[in-house]
Amino acid sequence: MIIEHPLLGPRDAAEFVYLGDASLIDRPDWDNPDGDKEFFEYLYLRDNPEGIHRELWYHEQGDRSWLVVTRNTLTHEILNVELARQVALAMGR
Amino acid sequence: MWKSVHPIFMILTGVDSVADYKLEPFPFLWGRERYFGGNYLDIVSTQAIVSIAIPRGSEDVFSSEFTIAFGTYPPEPGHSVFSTSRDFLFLWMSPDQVFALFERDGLYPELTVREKLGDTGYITDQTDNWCQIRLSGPDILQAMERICPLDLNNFPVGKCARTVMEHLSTVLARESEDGFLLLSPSSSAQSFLEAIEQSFLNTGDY
Repeated sequence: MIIEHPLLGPRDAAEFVYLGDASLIDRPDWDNPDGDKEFFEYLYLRDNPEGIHRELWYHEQGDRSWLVVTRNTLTHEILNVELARQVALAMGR
Repeated sequence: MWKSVHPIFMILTGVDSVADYKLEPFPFLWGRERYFGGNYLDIVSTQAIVSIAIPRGSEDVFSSEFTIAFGTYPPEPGHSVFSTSRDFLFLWMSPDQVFALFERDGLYPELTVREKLGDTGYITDQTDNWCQIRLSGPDILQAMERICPLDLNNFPVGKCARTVMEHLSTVLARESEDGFLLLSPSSSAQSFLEAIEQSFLNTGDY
């Protein structure tokens, strides 16, 4: 599988490490009134979609950047790749 | 290996004393240079590696100061660039990190960069952490293709990349049409060298 890195172009998937759902970027504030409930959902409740899924990948054997990869879990087709840093900034993180 | 170069001064303990002595640097893979036919595997032993990390939010200031100091823009992603004087080679390592490679001129190479760049970036000496191998010759692509996952036929002079070769972390920079500089962690330097040597032996009649 080849991942089209936004800065470096096509790179072998063997250079990357998969972490999981990209919703992990949206870490709740521990100080919220419902912080414990939000953290429970953040840590333990995951969607397991059949089809389009946004995931965090780490370019460990490369430039050490985190990427948000949009992948079809049925076909493994990669539809989009973004720098997680930019995704987080766009979310106001 | 590059051993500690901090001088150890005379230590007096009661009536006993330890002689004043100084440890000298010793490069990784010393003496392992060799030819494979017309291809040369050179152990780079006098080149310092200094990491420059860019503080978040200071990218524009860093770029400006870097350009003033070295006469060139910082390297673009996936590329290397020489300073105007060609004394320094800069490798792009990540969105907020650049490696500076230059001839070591003292015990503290980070000070050489610090003098030029001031307090613009976080500067650390990385020389101890990497072995450096320079490959040159007409058949090096053939040997490297076997263990490198990058498309080296589409890797022109001036490109650099961090990747993995034979399960070992590698930074490679193309210095010329028939020349590559390779960096790999010093802790696995022997294994890395053996992987390259074996790749030459497996791809040619040497």
